[in-house]
Amino acid sequence: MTRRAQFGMAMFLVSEGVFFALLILAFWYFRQRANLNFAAGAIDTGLLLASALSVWRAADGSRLWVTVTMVLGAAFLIGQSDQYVHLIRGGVTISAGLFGTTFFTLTGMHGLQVLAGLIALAVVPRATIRAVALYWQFLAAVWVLIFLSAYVWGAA
Amino acid sequence: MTEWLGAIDHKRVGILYMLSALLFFLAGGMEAMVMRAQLAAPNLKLVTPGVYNQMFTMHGTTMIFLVAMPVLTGFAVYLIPLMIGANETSLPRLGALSFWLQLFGGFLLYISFATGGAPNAGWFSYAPLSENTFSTGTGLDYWALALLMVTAGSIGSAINLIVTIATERAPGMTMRLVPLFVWMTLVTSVMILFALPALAASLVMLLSDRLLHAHFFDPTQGGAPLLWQHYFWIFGHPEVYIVVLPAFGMISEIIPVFSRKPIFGYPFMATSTVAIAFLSYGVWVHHMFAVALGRNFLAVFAAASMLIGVPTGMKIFGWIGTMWGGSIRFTTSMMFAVAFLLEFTIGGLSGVAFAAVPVDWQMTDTYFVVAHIHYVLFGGTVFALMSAVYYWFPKMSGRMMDESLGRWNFWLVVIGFNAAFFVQHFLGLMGMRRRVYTYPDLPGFAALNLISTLGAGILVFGILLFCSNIGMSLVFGAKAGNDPWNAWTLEWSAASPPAIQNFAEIPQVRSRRPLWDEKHPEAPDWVLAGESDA
Repeated sequence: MTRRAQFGMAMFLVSEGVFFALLILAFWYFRQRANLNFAAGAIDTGLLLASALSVWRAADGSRLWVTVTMVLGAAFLIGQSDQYVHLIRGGVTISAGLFGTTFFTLTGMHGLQVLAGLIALAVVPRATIRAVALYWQFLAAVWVLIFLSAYVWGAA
Repeated sequence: MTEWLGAIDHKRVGILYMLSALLFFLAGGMEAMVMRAQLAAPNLKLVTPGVYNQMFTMHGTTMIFLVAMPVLTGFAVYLIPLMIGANETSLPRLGALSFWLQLFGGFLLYISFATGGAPNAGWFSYAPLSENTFSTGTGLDYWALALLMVTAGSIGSAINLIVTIATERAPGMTMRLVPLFVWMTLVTSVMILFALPALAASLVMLLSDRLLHAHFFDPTQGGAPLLWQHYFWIFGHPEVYIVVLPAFGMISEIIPVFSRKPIFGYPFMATSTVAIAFLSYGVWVHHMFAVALGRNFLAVFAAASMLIGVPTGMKIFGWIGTMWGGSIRFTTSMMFAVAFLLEFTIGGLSGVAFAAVPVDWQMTDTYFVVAHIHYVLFGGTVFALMSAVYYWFPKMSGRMMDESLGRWNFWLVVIGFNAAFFVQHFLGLMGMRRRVYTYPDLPGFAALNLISTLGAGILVFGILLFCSNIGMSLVFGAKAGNDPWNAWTLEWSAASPPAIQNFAEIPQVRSRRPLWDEKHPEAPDWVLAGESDA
């Protein structure tokens, strides 16, 4: 069962990869820039990368490392929400221009899936935790691409 | 009842898929008949242009997403474990979840009628027509949300089928020995993994625009309607093969059994499928030739589109080669299979014509396109499905379908279909535009459209006869037994209908025709074919 679940998850991540690749491509296509908080983005990246490591330990069935992963994931989401609030207060909304359109759609889809991953970590039985770990590490890898696209190459 | 609602057994889930597809097939058929009635004569005003727009949008969306995909998935989910000697799919609960996502996605789409109007921007909903500015109702929101659910269901069932084919095959059954239907289902499922997320991404962007007032496709704010066209067709062209490759797989099972010969050129049949899958991702721009994209750009996609005719043509020769010199039994199933070859070839040829850019410029958005897609999707997929139902119904129900009703069914469908759609080639060449609710009384238009509408009426009788044949045969059909066609693949060694546990013992497989080996121990296939000794 465990192997089949991981195999199935790997196939799902093929689809997810295409999905995010096209959203990132749309972000590049419009080449819009904005003044993002690089430090906050870097901290978020650090949190998610750390959680990708801790979930690797969690895959061995340790409840403690699952909890550590969830705390790191939740911290990432809080950091993201904080940046959303700052951007929106500064007038950068999804309807304000093409930067907001592409940035919020891309990071919003990613953030929603991180939330889904958190729920999965909380409820999935030990036998299939490896499949969830795979999903989580994929989301961390996608985030690195988003960070590079929006915060580094796309920095204003 | 509850044992069906909670079913995770692959046979029950498969039948649920097929029944839901039949339900939506009747709905999509009624939408088609509203259109054909409106077009029966020039300048008719049976329905308003607005209602007509809803009809062609719902007809296309329904037939692609709620009929073709689920019915093929249903056959795959039902047959794959039986064909590979397994008792279950690998991820049965994912399989059941996928079905319910699919079904409720369909309901969500149809609820739009009750909320102020169905979607009306065509099945590919081009931006900016699909944006808030031009589509003010909620129809397109329902369309996008419903298709997101259907997309999730399609990806789920594709994952389940891939894992099943990769891990559950009977001992000895290498990928060189699986039935071709299994090969084509595998390739289709991989294509779903790569193609459907492009639709999902497009829909997410469209919903951002419509519900959150983003500007992806809004040219007044710097957005790009062309982005929608590219992303949609990156999904949309592979989609055509997703709904036709499993039909190829069915035909590849049926023609050998009724010709009493093994399939001709098995390795070519399998590898040409893979070639089609690869090429299908490099041809999407042929849906966009009318957009000024640059001559060299168009030339590349024109060449790729012609190239895809090669592996497809190889298959046609494979089927003809199988029939050549065989002792053919013309059951209803075989008649549909042979008709499939002819009708699909017509659709394929008009497709190659389109690949030439200037021809496309002339024909785009005319009834020639409508004729082409119906020869591919009806003449191809639906004819293959009719053949498949007559072939596998005895396995699924334990009873034979009525052959004399089958003859009537066959001839009504063939005559009705060709009358309805062949004339549309001429209408297209004469310049009749698709997606316009009526037309002026130009020379020839009235007569050809009347023929088309009468043909559609005959087709409806054929389909109703098909449905009643299924219903009556369920009750009165002759008992089928395990193997009514004297076939060779493993599903025919299980009971009809199979028990919850398909196989009491899992057979050892040593050739492509395990049942032949069992019936003919004096001359088994694996002695002749050096490649298949286990």
